[in-house]
Amino acid sequence: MDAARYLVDYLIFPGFLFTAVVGLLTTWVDRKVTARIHWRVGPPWYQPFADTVKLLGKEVIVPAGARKTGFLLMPIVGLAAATLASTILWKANLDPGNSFIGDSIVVLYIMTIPAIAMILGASASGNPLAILGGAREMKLLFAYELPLVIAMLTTVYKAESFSFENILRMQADSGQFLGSFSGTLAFIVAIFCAQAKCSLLPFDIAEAETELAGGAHIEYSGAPYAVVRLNMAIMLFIVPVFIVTMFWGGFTFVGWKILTSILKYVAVIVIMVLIKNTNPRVRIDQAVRFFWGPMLVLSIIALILAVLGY
Amino acid sequence: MNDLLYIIIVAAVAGIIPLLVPRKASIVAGVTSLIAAVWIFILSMQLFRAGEIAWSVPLFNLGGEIPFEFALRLTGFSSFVLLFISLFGVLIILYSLGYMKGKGQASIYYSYLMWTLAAAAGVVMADNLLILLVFWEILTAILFFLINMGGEGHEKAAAKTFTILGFTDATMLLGIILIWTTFGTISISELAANPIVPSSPVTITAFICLFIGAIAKAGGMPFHSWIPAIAKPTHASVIAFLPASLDKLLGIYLLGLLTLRIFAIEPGGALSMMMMIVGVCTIIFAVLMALVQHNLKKLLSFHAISQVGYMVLGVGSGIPVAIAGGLFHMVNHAIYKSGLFLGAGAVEKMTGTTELEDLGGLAKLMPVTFITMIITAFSISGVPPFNGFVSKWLVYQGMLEGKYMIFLIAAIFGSALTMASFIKVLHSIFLGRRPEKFDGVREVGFSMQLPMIFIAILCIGFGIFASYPLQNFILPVVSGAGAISTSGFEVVTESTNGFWSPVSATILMVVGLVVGIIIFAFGRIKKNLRYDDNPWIGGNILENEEMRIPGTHFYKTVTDELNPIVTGAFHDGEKGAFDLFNIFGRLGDLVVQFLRSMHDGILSTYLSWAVIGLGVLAFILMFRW
Repeated sequence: MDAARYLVDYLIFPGFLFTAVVGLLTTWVDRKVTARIHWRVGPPWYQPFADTVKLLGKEVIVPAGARKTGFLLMPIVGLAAATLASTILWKANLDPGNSFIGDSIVVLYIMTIPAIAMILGASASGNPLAILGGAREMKLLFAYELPLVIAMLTTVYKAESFSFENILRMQADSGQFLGSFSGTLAFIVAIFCAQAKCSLLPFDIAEAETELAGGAHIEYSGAPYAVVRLNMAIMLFIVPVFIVTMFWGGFTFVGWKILTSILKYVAVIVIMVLIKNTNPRVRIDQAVRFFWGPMLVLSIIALILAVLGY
Repeated sequence: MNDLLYIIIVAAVAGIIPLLVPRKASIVAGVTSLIAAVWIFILSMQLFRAGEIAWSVPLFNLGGEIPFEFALRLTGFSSFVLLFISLFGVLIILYSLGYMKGKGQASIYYSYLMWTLAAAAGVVMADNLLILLVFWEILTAILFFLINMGGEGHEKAAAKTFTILGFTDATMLLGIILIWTTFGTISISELAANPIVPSSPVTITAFICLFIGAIAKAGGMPFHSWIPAIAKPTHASVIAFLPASLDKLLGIYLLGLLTLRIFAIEPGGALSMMMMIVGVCTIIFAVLMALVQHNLKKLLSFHAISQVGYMVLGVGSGIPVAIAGGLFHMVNHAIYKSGLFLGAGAVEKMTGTTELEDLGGLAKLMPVTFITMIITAFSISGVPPFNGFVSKWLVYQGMLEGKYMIFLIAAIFGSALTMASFIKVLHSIFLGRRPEKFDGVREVGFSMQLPMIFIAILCIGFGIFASYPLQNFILPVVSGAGAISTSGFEVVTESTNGFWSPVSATILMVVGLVVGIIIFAFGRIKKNLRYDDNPWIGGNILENEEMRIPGTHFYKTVTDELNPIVTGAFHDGEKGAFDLFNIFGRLGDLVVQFLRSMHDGILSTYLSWAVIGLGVLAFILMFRW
């Protein structure tokens, strides 16, 4: 029975199907808001779905000299990991009494797998531009991981536990973490790290359409590219969920809290989209300097404040 | 005969046989060693089940009072370490059958391996610190000979190793003497019955002396520099056997013995802090140096150092969860790191090089090596659900319990950098584009594949079914093990409420892969697949060589331009600024220079020195009597 439940959780709700649908809808929100900022009309809500279906019917090109299996397999690995992270996060929010799969450190680690899969896929494609993109993605990954971990640990320190259950209960008991000084600072840091994790401007350095022509994604086409796009959509969905869970009291779907839960999520998304649309792309060394400079300092201050009890 | 002594004798005698075999039939030497190693493995499995065994024979009475015994004792801790030592013995000898083919001195190589096995078994079974030290020294000596069998530059590397390990063995002797004179016994079980509280200067010194011996063997900073020095010239199988697995097991075994049994270390006290700081510095500095390496074996050797940090951090903290994590990491590290070195050896055997810049695109030609390397690389980087993740996760839980936030951050960040470094390795060797000269490379023979496959399976098995090794090997050793419970396949920590259920995670990941494949099937990928288009590089068509990007410069922007402090550390690290051997070497050089300047080759100078010496001697003697 348990196994069947797990499968339903993972495949339908809150796992793959739910995550994919909401993730694609989120990309629509992103595109629509971006379009409005540009004074364009923007696509209809079903555009991301239409794109995915269209890509599934297209030709799949494996370039000469590519390592075929790795090249085709890596997007799927990313998809499996992203879906797993999403399932854990949602189960923690919807059913906090039952531990499911793992705690926050597990989710943090699993959320890096899509990026790593993307890098290995780029490397397997054998295209120098893709490899440059992959190398940049890796540099970006260890650049933002440090402040993100410290920001996350502020909450963990307060809850004295890595488990989502305790983190959510701590926030339910003593107020949302965002309300404290340390929480606000950590939240700001986490938002910028999320920007990099979802590879949105100004940190879409690994794809960099204008210089690397898609970078790590350059050789993907057809069905594998649909999966790559789906991965990015899912990441855009779950990273804000992770932030809301860690810093903003999580999600509750009871009574009027349904509304606030959705609003929290939309607020984080809109902040991210606004940052995306108001900043030009930075260079990789600037990005690393940004995360190991101001962001690191800010996150350390947040942690010190948390230790002092603010 | 007693079982414990039997193991040592079997290994030692099996080491003599290869010397009797004609040089040309070195394969016979290999096979006999393999049989002996398998036998030892079976014996140690039986001993592991049998529980605690002790055996001793009195040798002499020191000063008529203090008895000195040749005492062996197998406890739960030592029997599981012995189990893994003998397992690695089997795997490495099996691998060597293929690896040493066509290399000189193969027969004596097998002798050394067997004697190493005998000495290592002696170390873990010794119930007397002096006996332990004797076996420990034998290991150092054999390591010296094994390094000397290697390629270009081995003399210097071997000398360096012998100097560092010889020095730290001497500090161990000092520590043992201090304990002996203070407490009147050096029997481990007697000391364990009444653990020493390191409060007085003498006991603290004794602890630090023994600690230095332990971390120098394991490769912790600042006594790490022998491992990178021997990485390049020495045979890959030797590094996989000694610095990568056996020395880790033994070094951390001794550390565990010190912190858990002989001494009563106060968690959070000064000594515990010192050990944790050593651990964290080792993690971060070694991994930063690994990032800039261009040679595969050298890069792996820096990771072999970096990972020791997690073990020292965990065991040194004195928190049960972290101790369990540290000890589990010791086992896991021995597994994946020997696998990585065996993979490096396979690549070296087939391509003749381990320089990352020269390699590339071997995944298709060496699929087994590639898959095992990717699994071991993910294990060392702590990617769930492989084994490295579980042990690191336990260390993190312990750090949170002790509220050592800085150590926690450093440990997590260290694992991100490890990932970065292994992305570079996987790209440079197996993915990326293949230089045309390697088009004819083949996979290594089956006897070399088998140990690698077995190690990869262990990495997956110990990751997914982590509750089994934890329950059977680790938790019985750690006191206060109630902090971790393993219900079914789940691992739960009591104090921090950590939770990790690797089996369900893996099953769901596999389901996710199936979902992905179904999506591909929807896209009718088989029908739509098209090969052999040129990669798209802005419309240019480039030659293969022009498209090769070695991974060695992946992190150049980070290591060169950014953060002068860190960058300084990179370069000084490469030059050897953190290398105690070099620093003391320079001091020694000054002394030698001075002495040399006195040798001018003129007889009268020597004579006058002799006369002055005689005068001083006469003067002293006159005043004594």
